[in-house]
Amino acid sequence: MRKQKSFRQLIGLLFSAIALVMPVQVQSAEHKHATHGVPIPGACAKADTPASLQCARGVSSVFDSKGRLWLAWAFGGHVYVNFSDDKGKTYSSPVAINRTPEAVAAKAESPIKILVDRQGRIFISWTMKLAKRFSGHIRFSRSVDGGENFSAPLTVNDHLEVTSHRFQSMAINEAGDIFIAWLDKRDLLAAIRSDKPYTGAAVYYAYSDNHGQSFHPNIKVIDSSCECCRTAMAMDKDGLPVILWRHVFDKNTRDHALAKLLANDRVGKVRRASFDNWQVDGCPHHGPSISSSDEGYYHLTWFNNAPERHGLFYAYSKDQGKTFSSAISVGNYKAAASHPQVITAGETVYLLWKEFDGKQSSLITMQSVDKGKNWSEAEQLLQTTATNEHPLLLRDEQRVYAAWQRTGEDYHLIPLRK
Amino acid sequence: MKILALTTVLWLLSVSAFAGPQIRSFSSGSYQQIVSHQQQVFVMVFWSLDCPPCYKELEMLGRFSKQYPAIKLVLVSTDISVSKNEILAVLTKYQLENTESWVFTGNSEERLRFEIDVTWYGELPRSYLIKHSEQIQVVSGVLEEAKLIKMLSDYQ
Repeated sequence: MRKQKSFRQLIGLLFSAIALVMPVQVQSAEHKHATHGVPIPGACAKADTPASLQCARGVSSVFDSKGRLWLAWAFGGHVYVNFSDDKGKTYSSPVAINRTPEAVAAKAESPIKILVDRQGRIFISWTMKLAKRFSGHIRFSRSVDGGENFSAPLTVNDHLEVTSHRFQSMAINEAGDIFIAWLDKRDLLAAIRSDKPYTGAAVYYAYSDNHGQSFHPNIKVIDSSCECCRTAMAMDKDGLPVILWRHVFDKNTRDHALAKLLANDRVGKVRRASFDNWQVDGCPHHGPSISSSDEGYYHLTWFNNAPERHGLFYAYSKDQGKTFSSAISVGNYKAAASHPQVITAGETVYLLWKEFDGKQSSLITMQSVDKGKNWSEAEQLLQTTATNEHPLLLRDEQRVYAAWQRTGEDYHLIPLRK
Repeated sequence: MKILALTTVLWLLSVSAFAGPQIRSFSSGSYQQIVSHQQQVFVMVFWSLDCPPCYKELEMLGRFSKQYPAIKLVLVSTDISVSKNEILAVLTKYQLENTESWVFTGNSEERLRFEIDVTWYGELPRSYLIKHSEQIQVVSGVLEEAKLIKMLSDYQ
């Protein structure tokens, strides 16, 4: 009897103990979560840290026709622009573009984009994150006074529901027409509403023929792109851009496709550009790169991870994407060779990517002086243990440069061998 | 008897402090720590809040873990610098809040990935079948339930 009573007491105590513990546990969990979520370690994460290039996210850079290096980057709720007149040794004070702070979505896979036209007008585009997951608007601002003032940001996508309009690319032609392409989920949204199946996102673009004062209505390129790899765009010699993206072919083959515009408002045939047959119902977060040479050859580089064909690849097309050279493998697959970029300067083609050995990230380049037929040995440019973004290639009138953002360190601009 | 009851209460306090849903921080060395403690075949799934197809896999895993509670499942979110509450909310939605869960921490997703598998380039979801610390099967992209069951039956 006594034993039974003790047992009941014990059970009672157990429940009281659990009841006592539960709220405490929730409280402590909440407290812990509140302190979690520091974006960048060290000084860059401190609340009172001023905007600086060292702590920037989504950095892009471009040379203007006078050799000034312009940079655009995100910090906090703002997009900033600054410049360097000595090839990256010193930088001007940053100018905030958007006066009202907004959720600037600038990750390595979706950096801020910047272009400068012949007259020195500066054009910036970025993605603004919205309240819902995977949602965003494509934003745009320009400066017509050499970077002193920037226009209030406008939204380029003319579908304004809260869904994904992200991963934009941007290019400009000699006439100053600006083209922006992105991945867009308006058709997915419509399909869900009418209970129809839909794979991936769609590729849309818009153009401006008044130097970025406004954009024409959005034009769809195609349905069913992969939904989280950045798009790429290059300006063809005829002043009409070619867009490259990761597409979903068949049920789940995530290879690349390209489309050349036939007029500012007319899309040419969508053509398959890579043939690695990566079957994956997933998110690679690893977009391609394209450059068009002076004579109109397209040079492409991309990543795939199919069991048979994996790693980084390069190929070129002499006929605007109708046919391609055999894709060659680039970089060391076992050293995480990733995020490749391509640029052309005359007949020379440059490739750039990064590798990782478990401790250090390396920036690697190689080049071809015969339009992509033969390639030099891969050459290591730089190593770092710092967190870093995806590297970029850019050029001025004289040469090509590799640019690399590493958190907490100076922005690196490295001239490449001619 | 009183001493016994008190000891039990104290024991319960200490146990229940770890028993509720919680997300552990996955840092350098965590992968080895997880795999070296498992004697049986188990499933390790990497996912992210930023990956639309991952939700399909979580939905499947929610069903799967109800149906096969004996199969050990470890979930790892690769979302550095997001709130653990956000991750827990998603896991709870798919009834996976009591599954062993981790989230990448630190400043380099790349470094953590490299410790897990040098041929994993960050594509998600990424699922591993692990036996005696060895990755015996790996799947990039959404894992279908039938495939998971087949993988497990092949290696049990």
